[in-house]
Amino acid sequence: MKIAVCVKEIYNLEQVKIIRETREPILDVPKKLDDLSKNAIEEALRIREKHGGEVVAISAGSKDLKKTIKEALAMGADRAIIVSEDFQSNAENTALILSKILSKDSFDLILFGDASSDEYSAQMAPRVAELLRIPQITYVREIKEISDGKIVCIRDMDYYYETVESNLPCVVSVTNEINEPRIPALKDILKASKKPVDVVSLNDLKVELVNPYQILENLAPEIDRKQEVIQGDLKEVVKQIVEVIRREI
Amino acid sequence: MERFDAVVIGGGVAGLGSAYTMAVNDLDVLLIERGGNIGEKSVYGGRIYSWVFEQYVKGFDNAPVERWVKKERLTFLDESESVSIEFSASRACSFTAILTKFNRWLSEKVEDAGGLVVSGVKVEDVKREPLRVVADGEEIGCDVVVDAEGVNPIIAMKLGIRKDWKPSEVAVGVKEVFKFSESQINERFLVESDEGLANLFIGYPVFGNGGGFLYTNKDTVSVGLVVRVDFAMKKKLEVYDLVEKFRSHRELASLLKGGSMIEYSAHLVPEAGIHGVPERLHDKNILIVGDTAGFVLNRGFTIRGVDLAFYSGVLAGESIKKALDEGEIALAGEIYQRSVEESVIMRELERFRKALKVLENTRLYEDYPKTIIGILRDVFEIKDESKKLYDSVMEKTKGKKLRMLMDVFSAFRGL
Amino acid sequence: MESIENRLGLVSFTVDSEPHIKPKSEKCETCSLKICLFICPARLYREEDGKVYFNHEGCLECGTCRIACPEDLDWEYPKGGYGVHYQFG
Repeated sequence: MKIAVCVKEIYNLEQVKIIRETREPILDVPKKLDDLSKNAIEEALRIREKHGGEVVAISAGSKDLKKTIKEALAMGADRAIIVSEDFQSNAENTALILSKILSKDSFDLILFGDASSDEYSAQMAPRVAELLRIPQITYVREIKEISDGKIVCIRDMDYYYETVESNLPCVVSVTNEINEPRIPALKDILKASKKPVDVVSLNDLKVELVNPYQILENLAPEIDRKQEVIQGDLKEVVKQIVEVIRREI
Repeated sequence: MERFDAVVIGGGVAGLGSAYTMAVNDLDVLLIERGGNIGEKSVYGGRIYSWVFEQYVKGFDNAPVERWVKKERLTFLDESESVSIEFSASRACSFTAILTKFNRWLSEKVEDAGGLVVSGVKVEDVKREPLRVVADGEEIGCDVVVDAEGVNPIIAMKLGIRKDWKPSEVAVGVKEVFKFSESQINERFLVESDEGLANLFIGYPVFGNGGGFLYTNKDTVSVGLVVRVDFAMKKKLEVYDLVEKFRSHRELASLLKGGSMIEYSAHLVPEAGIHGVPERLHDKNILIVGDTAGFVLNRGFTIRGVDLAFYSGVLAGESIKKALDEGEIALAGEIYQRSVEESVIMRELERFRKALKVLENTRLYEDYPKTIIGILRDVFEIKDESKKLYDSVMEKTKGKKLRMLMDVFSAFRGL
Repeated sequence: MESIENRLGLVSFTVDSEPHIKPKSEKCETCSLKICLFICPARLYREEDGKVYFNHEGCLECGTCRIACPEDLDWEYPKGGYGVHYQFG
């Protein structure tokens, strides 16, 4: 099995500070590999453990990606192919870049997180599948079987589970319920530093980037905290908390 | 077992300085940082003296400098009033920086030079014969360890290289960072976009060993206080509220008006000068650098730590390289010891040996700010009959002139 | 005024389930100084019925309590990757 995992670097959202008065975010924070991308990597590693083969992490992002991609390699991906330069980042462009990289090789399976924690548009897997003209299975919570050039997955449709079979090659996007991503140990991190990272330029890929929309504003939602402080001895406090909850529901 | 020429414990300035020096000298070096992101556990006031970085780091032009310090201001505070002295320099020798970002930049330099930097992993122990570093339940072999774990010398103590700090040898520093716009800072502090102000405060609210600071960054202002731990213990100072009191002073309130607080932080600062530096800076092939070795110089009106920390890292790196070249790695510690003793670090610490004693003098923090403010109030406050400067000075210094004169003299000699 | 709780709210942490600092309860009960209650810059030590409690969740990892505590405080840095994440240190 030759498995590609498309991953995304995002701002470490837990560390983004918001300026209270203007609600603007301060985005000068370290980047990290998105958690949902880690689910996709983990699933690829498990398939590799079972069926053998190779796991290739693929990503397009900023200059920081050269560092961020090491998280995927430390988890266990064999190598990486990345675009690491400043470009107009939007779903269209990223899909164009990823499909261009993917089309240069022949993968049996292409995994994605079903969305990313920052924008959550859930477009990437469908867009890439369309560009590559191969089938796609989205919102997969379990990969049941891979054999004889076919894959069987269970899709999480919120109110019901759908079991789907497809021919390979195929695009699969996974939910965060599919697995618990492993945390790399020091020896894995050290090993990752020696794994090959192929940095390709947009020039080499000959992708024609598009610019279909502009982000006009990016503000945190207004939060109206009640800031009620309840003090006193334990019995009294519990009574008051119950009171507040009762009032609010 | 993985093996490296050298393992560096800690990704602060000192650790990064040693890793960088070894990496550019083609040593196989691994730096291990416990923070999830490199540099995120470092905290300081806000200013770095640039000489060592200009001299040793290739591409310093691209360093994340916030502003070059062209204005130095010393402010005496009592409960409600203030007196400031300001020096406006034509050239700068220090810059303000966010240490977290500065460390991140340094770590990129280390990696560009071929060093390996790992974050989010804590070194638990160092074992000897053969030398190994224990982290994440694994052992990593190496010829030499640079211990740059910072001001809390947990590993260095365990190894018996240094003793712990006494409360009289360290200060606790607290800092708040406020967000402004760049132009707000330029207008409020009367500086150009690339120029900044460093302001130290003596008196309120500590009135004892310690003081306040304010540094202007590009579009943020760092403000905080440092107080010696023994003094805070003796006076039962509520350290968590100190910066709050400081910030509520008229002088600070007007400087910080309209800013939005974005971070609060705390850290210990070595304050014992040369007395805080252990006699041996090593145990053969385990070397201590930076705060772990106590390389901080407090002259009252300036504090130097970052440049000395980085430089000690450079010296450690160079010494290790030399020992490896000579084929006798056990000599690394000895070579390092000698090079530190002959370096500007020990020369400066030695030169200001007396500074500590001067700064012990509590009159400096309580009596004198109040006296100076009192005199100037008398001079400038006119209701009906004005006071002569001479009369005011005589009155405010009654019975303590000789002592003051001696204090001033010893301050001149010591600082 | 910004209470210490509000100020700590501005700092980001990854909190471990296990505390990295543990006051020794039998020694704290007889300690007459209880320096930790006022010296901690994050005000994480609290006293209740003579017992001292430490809340490791907002720990700024300065080490002041380690230096000031007259007893042998059980003090360690948090595990790798855990604890405070300063951005403007």
